[in-house]
Amino acid sequence: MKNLLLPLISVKEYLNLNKMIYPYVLFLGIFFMLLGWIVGLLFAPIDAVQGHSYRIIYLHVPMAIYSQLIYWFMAIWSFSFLIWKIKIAPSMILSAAYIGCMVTFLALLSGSVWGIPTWGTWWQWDARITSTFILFIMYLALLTVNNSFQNTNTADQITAWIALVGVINIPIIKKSVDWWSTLHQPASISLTTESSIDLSMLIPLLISIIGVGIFLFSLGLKVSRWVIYRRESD
Amino acid sequence: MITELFKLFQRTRDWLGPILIFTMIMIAFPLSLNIYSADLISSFESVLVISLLMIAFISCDGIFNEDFLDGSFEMLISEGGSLFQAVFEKLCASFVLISFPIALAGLLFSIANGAINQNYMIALLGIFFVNIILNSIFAFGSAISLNKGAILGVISVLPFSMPAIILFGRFLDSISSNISSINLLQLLGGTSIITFLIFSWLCSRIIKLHIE
Repeated sequence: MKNLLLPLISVKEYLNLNKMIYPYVLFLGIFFMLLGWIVGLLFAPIDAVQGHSYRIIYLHVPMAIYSQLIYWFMAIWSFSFLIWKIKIAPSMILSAAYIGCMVTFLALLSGSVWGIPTWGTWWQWDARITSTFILFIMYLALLTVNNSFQNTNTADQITAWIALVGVINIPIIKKSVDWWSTLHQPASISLTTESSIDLSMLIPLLISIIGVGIFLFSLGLKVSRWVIYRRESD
Repeated sequence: MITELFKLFQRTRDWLGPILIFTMIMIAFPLSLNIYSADLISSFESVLVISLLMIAFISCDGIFNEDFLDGSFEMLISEGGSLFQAVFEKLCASFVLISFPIALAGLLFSIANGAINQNYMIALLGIFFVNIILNSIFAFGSAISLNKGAILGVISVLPFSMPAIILFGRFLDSISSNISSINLLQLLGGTSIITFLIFSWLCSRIIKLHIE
């Protein structure tokens, strides 16, 4: 058990593992991502109401899911840093913040592009869009705070506290479509109930979600390595 | 607590300034509209929420600066005193001298603009509770940005105020529609106590970090 957890505690062990698995994870991520996108864009049927424009879900949905999941990931690392002072945690939080910021931006952008043909507007101050926009600002705020202190330890601890407190907004984003009457549709896929999306569209979507997840994980490996080296050199 | 209250009372600008700014916004905003009562009522809630946010930011900006810069906090830690208690008392003093008068002014302007017709006591408490929540959150921002300027604190904690704004919006809606809002008031009250305690503790942790 200790050997399994070692890469999570020791920076050196983590870097060794990181270098070893990175090419495989990257390959797997690109493979599944492209597979999902190709099947979704070329072979999935046309939507009866939205036509071809619905196909942006193969980018938008994975990005929207991971924009929130990455925040949870960051919060867990923040908790572990504040409680157990795990040395690698600040690098993981920072890497996740960079990727989370990018992913949330892509979720907002793809949502806006989808909004033009379906809603007739690229932006609406509705609950889901606004709360996701706030999530984007939170990522930016975390990066700003982390870069504002010369003392690395102070910066790390303050960043971890903010990330942890910020978790309060994630359930609000998730439930925003249920709590308010919004333009944004409620979730079409769920782990607990039957999904309202046809299987021929759902399968490529699931492959895309898995593919984007693995690809983002590989990106996380790369960024975390860069963050660790940069912090060590500082 | 009494000492903190007295110290804040002596710094007139720190407590009277936010109250005056709030009053001026409340007086000035109808001038930007056509003077039809329907316009005033429909836009009043938004103006009230934004004003409360702004005032919470102004009143908490630099709340810990003086004690941090003159070494009071450092001395308190070296003497084994409780930083949490110091922060707690400081925030309590600001609630008494800033938040409560603002809640009172907010209620008076709500009545004057026709946004609230009854349940005055519930409205007063609701505005006071949301003030406590916002002040606690912005005090956390102020603790983060000690020596770094107010902007850093605001951008890092402003997203946390979102749940409070949502809750307060619902509360104002129910009050103005004369729907029973006692449950929402209880929720606001409970949230304000929890937020106040948690953020006081967080502020003390962050200030300690700065000192170390």
